[in-house]
Amino acid sequence: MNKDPKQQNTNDTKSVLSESVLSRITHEQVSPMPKWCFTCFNYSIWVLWAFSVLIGALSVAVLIYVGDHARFALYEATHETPLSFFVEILPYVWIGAFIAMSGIAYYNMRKTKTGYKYPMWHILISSIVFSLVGGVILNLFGVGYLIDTQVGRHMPAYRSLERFETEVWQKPTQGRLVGVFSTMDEADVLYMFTDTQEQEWSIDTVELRKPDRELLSSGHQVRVLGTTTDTEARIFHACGVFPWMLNKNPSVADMQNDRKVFLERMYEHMETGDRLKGLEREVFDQEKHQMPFKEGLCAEIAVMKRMQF
Amino acid sequence: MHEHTEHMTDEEIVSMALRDKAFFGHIVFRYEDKLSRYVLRLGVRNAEDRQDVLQDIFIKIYKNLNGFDTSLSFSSWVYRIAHNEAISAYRKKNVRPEGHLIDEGDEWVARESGALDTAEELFDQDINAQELQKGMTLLDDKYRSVLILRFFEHKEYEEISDILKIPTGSVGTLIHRGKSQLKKKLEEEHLRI
Repeated sequence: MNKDPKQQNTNDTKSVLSESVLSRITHEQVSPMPKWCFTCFNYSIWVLWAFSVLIGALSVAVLIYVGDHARFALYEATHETPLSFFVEILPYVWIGAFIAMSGIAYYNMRKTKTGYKYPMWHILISSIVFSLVGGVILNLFGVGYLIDTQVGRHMPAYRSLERFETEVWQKPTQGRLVGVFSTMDEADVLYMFTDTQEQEWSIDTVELRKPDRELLSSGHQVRVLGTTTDTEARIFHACGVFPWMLNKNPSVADMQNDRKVFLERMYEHMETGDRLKGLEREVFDQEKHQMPFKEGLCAEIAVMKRMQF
Repeated sequence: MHEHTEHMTDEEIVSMALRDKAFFGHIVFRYEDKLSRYVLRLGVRNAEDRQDVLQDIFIKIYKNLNGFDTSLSFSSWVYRIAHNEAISAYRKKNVRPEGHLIDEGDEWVARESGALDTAEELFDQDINAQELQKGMTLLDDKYRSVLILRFFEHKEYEEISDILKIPTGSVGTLIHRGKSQLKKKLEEEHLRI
């Protein structure tokens, strides 16, 4: 009688298949994969999931930053319609990255040990929510601005908001300038201004209100809306000055104020233009096609035609 | 079955097999009939092929013993491996599975058909095993797998969820849709079980 339990067990359960399996295990020297392999695999799935959620959160941070800082308040200054403004401003790369990362996060979550137990929408929504919440938090710390700006500065193919705004506003022939005040001219009348192309401009501020002049002379980077009156001498007639404001988080109140100030300025210019044209009619009994007074030039700029007060 | 292992759980035998491969023979012994039937139902009809697939299944189980997720039942984990191996086996051959659902006589057929019947009161009492088998082979894979596990392997929804790695809610949906599709196929083919 066989006294060895192990031997006895093996004999009792012998079948052709178990024999052949055990023999194959022996001959092929098959051994169970170590536990750490499975542990590493399981952790790597979670790490990949976390990584895709993080990239998704970074995408969301940039999307929020762009949405926050896109100067919709001034859209008439740069675009014909709000739609054309949005079509051009949308950060398609980050929208694509967010969608792709949500898909990858979903895929990784499904690959985890218990991921299959949850419905598809459950996993997808939770991954998206993690990215959204992460994106909001990251944006609060200025990560959206940092990524968009740094990627834009180091990758020529990437059109950051900074680059977009600079390209759109650095168009003197279309009445837009971006840059920094440098000094007053010798006569202390014109404001000397250096644009982003390092070109020196003389800014005529005759139609600017005091707050605009103060903003212009603050030394901060600003946007100037107006018209070029002398291309050779680089003289720019300013109609409004607006803060650059890409590196601070504007509140809803800031954005509303932006819009209010812009509309007020343009309305004032329109009134001035109407008043001066009326004066001309009264004095000369005729109306010229061009504004006869320097003070009325702002009523003629392209943005006024788009605004249709 | 011998006196020492017959009262042991699968998990206990697994932990012993990890120390001494001879104990893995008990796992093979416990599951070979069940898995052989399951693999046959999934479409591996040729006996030699089936033996090969079964060997591969058990080798894979042995290789992955350390990866056994103790939150699952060992049976579900084994069926999951068997399912994947059987599917890849017939995919390798690039043929549509010819499932052999019924092979154990009229009594068994009656019981299985009864299970289908009482579950949803879908089918008639006139049982025709071959026609049911034909109808099942016409189903989409996702419905066939779930119907086989539910009505031929008698697995609970939770177990099917673990074997096929789908949400438990989806199991119910797939069973319902599978039965509808089966009924439709049987009608289209003028089959009657």
